[in-house]
Amino acid sequence: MFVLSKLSDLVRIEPSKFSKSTEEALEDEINAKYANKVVQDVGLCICLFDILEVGDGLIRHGDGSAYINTVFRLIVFRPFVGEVLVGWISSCSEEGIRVRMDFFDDIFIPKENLFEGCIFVPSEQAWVWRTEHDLYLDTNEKIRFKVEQDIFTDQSPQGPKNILAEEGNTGDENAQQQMLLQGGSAQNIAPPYSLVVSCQTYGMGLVTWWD
Amino acid sequence: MKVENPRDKLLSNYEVLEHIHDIKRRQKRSASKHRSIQRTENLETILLELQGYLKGTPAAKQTPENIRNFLQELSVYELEKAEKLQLLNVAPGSEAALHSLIEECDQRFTGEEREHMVALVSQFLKPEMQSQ
Repeated sequence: MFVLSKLSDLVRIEPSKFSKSTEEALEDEINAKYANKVVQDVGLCICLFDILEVGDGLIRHGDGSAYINTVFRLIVFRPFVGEVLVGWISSCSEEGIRVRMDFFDDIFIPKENLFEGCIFVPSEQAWVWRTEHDLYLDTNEKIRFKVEQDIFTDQSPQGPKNILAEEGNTGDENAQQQMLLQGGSAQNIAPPYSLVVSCQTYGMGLVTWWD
Repeated sequence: MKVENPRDKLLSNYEVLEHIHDIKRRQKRSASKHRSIQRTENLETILLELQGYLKGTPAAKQTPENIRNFLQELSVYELEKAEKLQLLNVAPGSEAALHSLIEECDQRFTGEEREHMVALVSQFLKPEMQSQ
């Protein structure tokens, strides 16, 4: 579930923080920058694990801060494909099931990744696995699932050049603008890091079914 | 920022939980010395939520001795590193759960071996189950 990722960065330490030891100041700055943030193709950063290398403090013209080249390792949430995790069902819809873990919410089970013979019951807002007994996948139940795919969405703002280039492709300006608006809002909603998971093999599904 | 290696090492849930406890201890210590410590919201949020999650997992009851003994006993079986890590993190309580963690479990291990693995899990990783 968790990995150590090795990163290097130029860390800026303000003069007001010179009273701390270098190590403490670096730790605070690194945690402030990375904790609870997603780094593209790395994962969800939790916190600093250890500092491996500390360079000399450099100064820059017109700035009293020290800049230090640092190599460090972070604890990162990045489950591997095929890993089995446990979470809670946060909501069910016709498309599938949303699952949350306390610290990470962007987990989705599409309906095609559910057990064969699962149907959605709109009146109960739940998925039911029809076997000898009806097995309900209800909201707030503890569920075990397997990671199938991780998706990173770059959320850095698009430059004006990209937008202009896209506009040039079609003639109808209004339609294009609408598409841009829709596309823009859809991109804003897409989380930076999300997991597509499955629940269709022996041992998956609600924890209470199997243990 | 430069990513040198996105996957340097794998960590077990127990190690992560231990690291969080360590941070909390250090925060407490520096607070008692009246030094100004920086508590950023993001860090506090993720540590609190993660701690809450991990406290509900088998990792909360594991100890270094238990883990070491468990892995020693388990070394008679040919398991991948990732599979051992999963056994630690999930601590399967039944054969069905074991199946989901180990690929091609049926072909690689006999029924007795699978039972033995589940028994090892309950012996070393779920101490609270024994007392019940």
